[in-house]
Parts: sequence; C-alpha cells; structure tokens
Amino acid sequence: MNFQLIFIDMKVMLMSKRATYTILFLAIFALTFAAMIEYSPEGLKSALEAAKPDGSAGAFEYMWFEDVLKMLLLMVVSFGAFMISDLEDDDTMGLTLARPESRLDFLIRRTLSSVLSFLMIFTIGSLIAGVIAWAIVSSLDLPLFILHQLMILPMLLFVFALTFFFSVPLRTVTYSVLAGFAGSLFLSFTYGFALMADPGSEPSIYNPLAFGYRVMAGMPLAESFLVVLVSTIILFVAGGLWFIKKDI
Amino acid sequence: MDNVNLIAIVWHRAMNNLFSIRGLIALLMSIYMIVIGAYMMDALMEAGTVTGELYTLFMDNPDMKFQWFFFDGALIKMVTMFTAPLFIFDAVSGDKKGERIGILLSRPITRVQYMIINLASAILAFGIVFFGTMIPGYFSIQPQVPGLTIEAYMATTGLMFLLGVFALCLALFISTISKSNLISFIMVFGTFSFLMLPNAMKYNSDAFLALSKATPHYYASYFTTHDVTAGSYIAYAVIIILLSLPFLALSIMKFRNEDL
Repeated sequence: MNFQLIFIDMKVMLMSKRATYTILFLAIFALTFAAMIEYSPEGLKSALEAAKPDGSAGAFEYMWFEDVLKMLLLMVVSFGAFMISDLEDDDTMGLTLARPESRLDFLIRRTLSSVLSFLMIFTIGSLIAGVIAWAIVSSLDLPLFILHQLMILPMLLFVFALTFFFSVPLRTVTYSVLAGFAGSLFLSFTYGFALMADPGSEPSIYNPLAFGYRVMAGMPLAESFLVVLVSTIILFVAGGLWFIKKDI
Repeated sequence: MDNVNLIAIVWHRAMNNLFSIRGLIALLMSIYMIVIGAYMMDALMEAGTVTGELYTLFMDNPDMKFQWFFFDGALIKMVTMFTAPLFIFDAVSGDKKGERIGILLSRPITRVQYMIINLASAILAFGIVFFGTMIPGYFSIQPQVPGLTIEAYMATTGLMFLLGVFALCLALFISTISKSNLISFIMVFGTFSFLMLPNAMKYNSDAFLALSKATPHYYASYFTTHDVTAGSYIAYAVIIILLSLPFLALSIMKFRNEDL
C-alpha cells in the first residue's frame, strides 16, 4: 500500500469545493434551524418538544435528524463519487489504471482516502454545527448531539458504499450522484413517513437509513447496526468485484 | 439560420432528458409523492403528530387540510428541490465540461437560441412528468379526500408547475456560472433549500411572513390556505413568472458574453 498516494488523494479531496461546501452547509443549516426553533411561537415549540424522542439531545436535534440530515446526504454522496467517478469524468481512469498498481490496490487506496477525508470533514463540520446551534438554542445538549452525529457514521458509510456501487455501471459523477442521492432519499423518506404514520413506533431495522433515527432516539442499535454493516460490506464488495472484472 | 428546426431540437432534447436516469428518478419521486398524498394523509395529519399539531396551531380551515399538507408541505419541496432542477442543472455546465459546447455552437444556432432550447426542453420534460403524474394522481387522491374539487386541485397544480419553471430558470443560471455538474447540482440544491425556508417559516413570525412574499413559493402556495379567486390567481401566476425572468435574462447575458 502506497501511503504517499493516499495522502496526495486526501489532499486533493480535502481542498476540494465539495469539502468546503459540506462544512458551509452544516454551519448554515445549523444556524438557520437553530434560529427557527429558538424564535418559534410557543405552540410550535411545545409541539416539537412533545414530538422529540426521549433519548434525543433536544428539539433542535430532532429537527436536524428529521429534516437537515436528508439534505446533507447529498454531501455524503458527493464524497462517494470521489472513489472512481471523478476519474471517469476527468478521463484519467485509463491513465491511472495503467500504473503498476492492481485494481484491488487502487480501489483500497481510493476507498481509504475518500472515507478518511469525509470523516475528517464531517467531524469538523459537525463540531462547528453543534457549537453554532448550542450558542443559539441553549437547551441543546451539545456533547450528546456531537456523540449522536459521530454515531451515525456507519449509516453515512452505507450511503457512501451505495454511491460507489452505482458509480461502477453509471461511471460519471452526475449520474452516480443522482442515483446515490435518490436511492438514499427514498430509503430515508420511507422510514420517515412510516414513523409519521405511527408516532412512537420503532423504525424498521432493515432500513439502513433509519439507523440515524435510532441513534437520535436512543433506541437499541445492535441489530440495526449489523444490518447497516452487512449492507455496506455487500455493496463495497459487490461494487469492487464488478469494477475489478469490468472492461474499462 | 433558417435550416434549423428549433421545435424538433427541443423535442429531442426533452426526450433525451425523459428517457434517462434523471427522468426515471423524477418520475419515481412524483409517483411516491402521489401515493403518500393518496393513502397516508389521514395518518400523517393525526393529532399528536408534528404535522397534525402544526395544522391545529396554524390552520383554521378544515376544507383546506389536504391542500395545505400536500402542496405546501410536501409537493413544494419536491418540485423545487428534486424534480424540476434534475432536468437542467447540467444543461450548460455539462456541455462545457464535455467540450460539446463548441460543436453545438458551430451549428447555425445563436447562443440565445441555445439557451432557449435548454430551458424549453427542460420545461417540456418537467411538464410531462409533473402533469403526467399529478392528473392521474387526482383520481387516486379524490376518493380519500371527498371535499377536494378538481378545480382547486388543478389550480394549485398549475401554480406549482410555474414554480417549477422558476426553479428551472434559476437552475439554468447556476448551471451557466458553474464549471462542473456536481458543483452546479450542489449549488442548485443548496439554493432551493434556503429559498424555501421563509415560506416554510412564515408561521413563525411576521418578519418571515414578510420575507416569504419576496419568494415565488409564497404565491404558489397561497391557495392552499385561501379560496381561489380568478383575479388573484392570475396576478400570482404573473408574479411567479416575473420572478423567473431575471434569472433567464442573467443566464443569457452571462452565456452571450462568455469566452468559450
């Protein structure tokens, strides 16, 4: 494994516009939604307080996980496109694979660099978002909010894997991002509507995108985590095998 | 110039948009929304749910319950953030990135015509998906919402379509100034996420209500809480179109002056 190449890849990803926008979006959404909650009429505040699950860090976190996180999936998907789609778009895939590096090594390198870059950006963005929200909504339990943000990383890695899987046949960034984003949104809306239809119920453990809600609500995670983990591994392995066998 | 059949180009470009992964995603999103509207309304609006509580707090007209929830609560987001922009976010940036722009403009069409073709084909593709799902959707929704008349439903649907046209004009502008499709997509999605906030928060304070009047979302969703009157309806449709035109003009000006 060539660590120098991983660092070079990571440098490109961390300095990209996608990274900047991810942090910017997290910060602006935190500012907007925190202000929205803090300056809501009392009746709406009470409705939100009543609706938030007991294990959550407050009404802000409830809104964050129910609404904002769906929008932020786009940023996760855009990082997933770094793995192979970016090279396809730049027409540098053939050139890259012409190097004395096996496709498996290439995939491991790109996976490591894009996942690590995303983790760094998401952690920094979550800290900034948490502090902004806490400064506005004093009732927010900041450490718990940050902890929950970090605990949903397995779910975000699933979205990452889904985007990678789609990017093998679809190739370009545009279509990989569209398919990855639409796929994760469908899963997200499905459990969201099911919960709205039956308030107080538990989301299905078989929907990987419901893992975030379970984390926020303080529900048991073991079975759901296993489903997310297995789905993520299957998507990475299936996509990887497909890519290795594929005629570029 | 007279050898170019612009209508045929618009038609072909619209069909290319429709029979692609973006057309499929837009169609699935629309069908999904109709199914939710038709079969989950009562459950979603029950007292005790957040939506149900919002309704109790801010709506005093039971006849408008469906309109308010379906159009103002759900469809407005889908149209502006997910469906309409899909057909145009990479129109110019995609052609520039793929270096097709030179070949396209070497044909006997002007740059203004090129931009109009992009917008018209996107409006056509969006219109086919939107009305293609909304019109049959009425017949599956109506049995669950007996008070819903086709006039009220189609009136709001019409304004939502115009809101989609606004989304297309703004997305075309963003596509024109973007160098990459992905950045264009992120910018379009981000812009519409924020642009819809004043309308979504108009119940929070008078300040947000005043601010929401500067966005087309307010006018497109006005009749979800008020009875339709002919004069206001036409006025609001005109306002939405007038709010769209500056973005179309800016896109054309930017593209005309660009050194490709």
